[in-house]
Amino acid sequence: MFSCRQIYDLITEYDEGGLTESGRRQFEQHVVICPPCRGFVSQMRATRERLGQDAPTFPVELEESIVNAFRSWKEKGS
Amino acid sequence: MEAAGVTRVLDAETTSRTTATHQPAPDRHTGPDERALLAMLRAGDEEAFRRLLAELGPVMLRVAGTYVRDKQVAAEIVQETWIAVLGGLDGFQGRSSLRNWIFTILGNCASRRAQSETRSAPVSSLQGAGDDELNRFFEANHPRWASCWTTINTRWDALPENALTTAEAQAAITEKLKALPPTQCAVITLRDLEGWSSEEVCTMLGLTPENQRVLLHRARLALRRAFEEVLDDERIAS
Ligand SMILES: [Zn+2]
Repeated sequence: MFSCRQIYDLITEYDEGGLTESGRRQFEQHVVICPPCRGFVSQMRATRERLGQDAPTFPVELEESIVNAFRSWKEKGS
Repeated sequence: MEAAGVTRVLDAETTSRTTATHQPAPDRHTGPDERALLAMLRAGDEEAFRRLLAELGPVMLRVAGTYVRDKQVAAEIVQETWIAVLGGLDGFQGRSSLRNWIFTILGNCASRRAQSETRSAPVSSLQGAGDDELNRFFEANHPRWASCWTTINTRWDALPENALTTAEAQAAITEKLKALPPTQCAVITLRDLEGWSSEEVCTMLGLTPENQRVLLHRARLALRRAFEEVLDDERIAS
């Protein structure tokens, strides 16, 4: 059976599907009976989900400026 | 000649545009293959160029932002990178993938600028989470609670919907990402903010899968902790 410390160390490996069959089972068996680890697992999941909502922004002026560089590169080449 | 374009973007930061939906770069899987794309770019196909820019631009800006603290300098790095890409496009041999090549150039531009920029925070204070959380566990030889949590860890799936989208939480993300070691920041940015697969990130950054996973783990722990601090502050305040 894993300790809480091991859950902390292994959670990303678990999420990434890197644990063996038996490792995965031990991980789940621990988490299901351990409230602090259930809390920790939910916190890591909420963190990931929140990061996924962080909309990427790209300044429109930067985009235009780079497209302009493309246009002058094109003119120079032809 | 390129300098004019670089200075123009200095004013760009005030108005930024949010892309419509958060999708992991669709062109990587469904767009034209590399060779076709390269031919289109060399032929001066502006639409193809715009698509590539839309795909890579935001993540390039984020990665550049991990090298330098100044947002405008990060924008300049992205601009410089694309100018270098265009300059090298005709001679590009295709030994690495086009996108990998672009990110290599980005890394070179960014390191050069990072060296000339005086960092305001000492590098030694920029370590990720991990070791500083050891006090959250009882000692391994504790008679009763060996390697158990010393903290309760409340569940976050029951939080009000907006608890992690406050201005404080947003600022915490930005600050924590900046404080991470650059490779950790690049990994979590690509994986969790941009939704790339681990294979894609390994290829892009030249990491082994194990390495990638360790960096991702440390970065996620650091961000979890940042959110925890925000939530604790709110709890104390209320
Ligand atoms: Zn536990």
